[in-house]
Amino acid sequence: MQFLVRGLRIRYPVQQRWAVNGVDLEIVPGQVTWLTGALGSGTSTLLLALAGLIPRLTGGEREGSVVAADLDVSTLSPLSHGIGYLGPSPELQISGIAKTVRDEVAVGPMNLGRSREQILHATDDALRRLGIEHLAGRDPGALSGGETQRVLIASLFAAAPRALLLDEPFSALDRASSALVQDLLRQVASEGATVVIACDDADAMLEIADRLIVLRDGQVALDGQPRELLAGDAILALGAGTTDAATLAQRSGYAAPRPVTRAELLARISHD
Amino acid sequence: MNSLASRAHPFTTGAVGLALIALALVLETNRETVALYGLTVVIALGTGAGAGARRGLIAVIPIWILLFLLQVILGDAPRVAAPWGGTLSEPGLIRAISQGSRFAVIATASLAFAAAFDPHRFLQAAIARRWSFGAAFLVVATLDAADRLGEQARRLREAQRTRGVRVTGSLGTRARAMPALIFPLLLASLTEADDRALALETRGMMIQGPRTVIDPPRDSAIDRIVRWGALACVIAAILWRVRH
Repeated sequence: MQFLVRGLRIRYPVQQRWAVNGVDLEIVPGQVTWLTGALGSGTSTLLLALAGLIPRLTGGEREGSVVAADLDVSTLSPLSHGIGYLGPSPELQISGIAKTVRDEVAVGPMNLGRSREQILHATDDALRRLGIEHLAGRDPGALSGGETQRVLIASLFAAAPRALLLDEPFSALDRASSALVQDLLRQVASEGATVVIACDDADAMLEIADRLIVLRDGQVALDGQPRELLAGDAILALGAGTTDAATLAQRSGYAAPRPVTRAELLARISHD
Repeated sequence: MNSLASRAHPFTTGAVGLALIALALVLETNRETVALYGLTVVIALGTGAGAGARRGLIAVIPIWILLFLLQVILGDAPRVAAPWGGTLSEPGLIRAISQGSRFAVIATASLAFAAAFDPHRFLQAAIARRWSFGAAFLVVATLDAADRLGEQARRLREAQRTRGVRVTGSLGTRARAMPALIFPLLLASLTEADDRALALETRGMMIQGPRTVIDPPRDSAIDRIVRWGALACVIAAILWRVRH
């Protein structure tokens, strides 16, 4: 699913400032697109706009357009049009209508009216892919933050959307779970899905992102190949942060382009 | 999940709960309402929803105390001698027992239903019957909201305690802690409402159109008999009340 964003401006109710202020973008399927920026730069708002949830659910004002599959997203119910969105607060996104994790994962496809066999297969498959089969019988309201996050990601996978829009999907995950989710997201993108992730974990995103978009004050400040941008000075000047290795290299006095992974940094140190 | 109440069809537990509440409002004399409360407790305990009976009792004790004070101690004449000295209002005592047992039935039936309630089974039953998903979801969300609010209040109490606010102890101490608990709870609930709306939209709850029944609850002949029986009891009670 391709997203075309033209002249997008978004302002929340009673705010003078535009949270997104004149964004033009084309987001293509088959890629992992990474949105980042300093706090308040507009990445979460842009993600909500791509899902068509703003201003419909949040109120406020929108100018410009966001078109997905030739339709204006603000008129769509996201899941029924193949758009899966995951917000940043896992504990608030549990449906409240399921007594077990298995039922929770089945909520999306059930609401989409898929066949019973499809739902059961998709649910089992999603639980397996996220490595949470052992949680299937548990109460979704009584899970840890990381478990809840994995259940919600499994719920997205069970609904098989064509576009996945994820806000800080690794925030509650431990390193192993984070690596697992990264692999899965990379895999669905390579299968043709559109994956857009708002995230400030550069080390996690470097492994999977094809494209990095850095926002500042609601505008696109940088747009390019993640490795190149993370190695440069511009991203640091924007307060967006880079990988641990690039930060360490910068503090150690290395000029751009800096190494962006631990292995590259060690190699550079050995070489020097 | 093995109790009779949780195995029964979700509409059956709902019908029995509603019938008990309706009977509490229809029945008139003390003997009837007290007997109905006894029956409600027996049904709750017998079907494995005893938690509802306990919570119901805890919920009505303050109401009973208030009724005793207003109706019995401060009530109208004629007054009779109290066993411990002084006098009690005779009509006030009758009213207090009647109202107190009505409240007890309503609280116990509601809380026993809530204790046995399984949102997934209820929605599956509603979808299977082609009921309005919005209406069924409203029932589920209302019951879920109470749980969420309770959980939020528990978290806030702990948070305020770690900041040094005294939230336990005498009634006075608890009353003084109330502003520090109520205002953050209200604010958190308002903020959470936005996030919840977002979550429900993104999980497809607002989609119009048919939904799939994955595992519809079994609706046995006994379930149907109990539901029709509950309805018959309410109709009979109304007719009896109208005639007398």
